Amino acid sequence: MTVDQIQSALQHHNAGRVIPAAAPHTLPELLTQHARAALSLSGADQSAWNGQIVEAGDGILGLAHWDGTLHLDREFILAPLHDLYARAGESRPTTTLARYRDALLTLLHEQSHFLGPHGATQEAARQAFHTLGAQALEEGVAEAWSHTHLDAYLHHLAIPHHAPGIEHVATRPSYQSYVPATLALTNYLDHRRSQPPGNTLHLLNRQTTEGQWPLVVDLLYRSTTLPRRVPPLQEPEVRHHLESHLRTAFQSLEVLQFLPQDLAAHRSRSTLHAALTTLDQDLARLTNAFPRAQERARHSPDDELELTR
Amino acid sequence: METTEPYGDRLARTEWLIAELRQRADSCEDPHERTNLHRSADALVRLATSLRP
Repeated sequence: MTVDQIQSALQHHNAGRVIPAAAPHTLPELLTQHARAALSLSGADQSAWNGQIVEAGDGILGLAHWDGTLHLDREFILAPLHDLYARAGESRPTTTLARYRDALLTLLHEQSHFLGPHGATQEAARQAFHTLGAQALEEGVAEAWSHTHLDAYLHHLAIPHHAPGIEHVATRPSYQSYVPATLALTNYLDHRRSQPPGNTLHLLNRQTTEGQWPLVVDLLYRSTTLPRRVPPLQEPEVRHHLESHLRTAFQSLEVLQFLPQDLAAHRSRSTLHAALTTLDQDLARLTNAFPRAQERARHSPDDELELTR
Repeated sequence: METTEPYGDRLARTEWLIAELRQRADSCEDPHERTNLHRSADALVRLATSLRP
C-alpha cells in the first residue's frame, strides 16, 4: 500500500493540490513546503526548482536536474519520509531516525543546488559546472552547508514533533572527497575576513555554480592589501592567477572518490592545506611585487635623486 | 576557466566513473558506505548531464 501512497503523494503535490500548512503533517505537504524552508534558511534570492518531483530511476538517490525537476529515490528518500508521517509521534529506533535524517539531508542538499541570486539561470550554472574545479566546490558547499544547517531545517519543518529524538541522531556528511577541502577553504576565508565561522560557506551556498568561484576570489582578493597595491590594469591577471591556483586544487579532488571515506577525507584536507600554504606564499610574493604608492614613491629614482641632492 | 580535457572524453570518463561507483555500491555491505557511493555517483550524474549537448 505504501507504493500507492507515495505515488499518490507525488501526484497530489505535482498537480498543485496541496494546501500549505503552518508546518507539514503529511508527505505531500512536506514535498510542497520543503523548498521554501530551504530558501528561507539560506537567505538566497531565488530557487530554480520548477516545483516538480519525480521518482528517480537508474540508481539515483537524489538529483537536482538542470531542468529544475527534483528526482528522489523511493527506497531511500520517499518511503522513509512517508513512514515518518505515517508513524508520527511514535518512538523509533536510532537506525530508523537515521534513515529519516539522511532522507531529509538529501532534500536539503538537492534544494541547495537550486539556490541562487536574482537573475541567475540554470543554463549559466550548467555551463559553469564543467569548468575547472567547479563541480568539487559546488558539491562540497551543498553538502557541508546542508549538514551544518540540518537541525535548523528540521525545526523549521517541525520534524522533531513527528519523529522525537531525530535531532540527537548523529549522521556524517557524504562527499568526503570534497567536504573537508571546502571547509578548509571557507574557514580560511572566514579567518582572513575576520568573519564568524560558517559565514563564507553560507555566502557560497546562495550562489549557483556560476557565481561561486568568482565570489571566492573576490572575498580572497579583498581580504588582502592587494586592492590598494595592484594597478587596475593588472588586477584581472592577479585575480586569474589566484583563481586558477585554487580551482586546480579542487579539480584534483575528483580522483579521491574511489578511496575509502576516511582516506578521502584526509587527502581532501591535506590537498587544500598544501594549496592554502602555497597561496599564502603567493600572496606574500604579490604583496612585495606591488608596493604601496608611498613605498613606490620612497623608492622611485626621482626620490633617490632628490635625496642625493 | 575550462579544463583541458575535451568534452567527449570527459563525458565518457564521467559515465565510466558512475558505472564503477554504482558497481561498488551494489557489492558494498556497509549501508552507510553504500549510500556514500550512490551519492558520489549522483554528483557525477549531475556533471554528466551538464556535459551532454
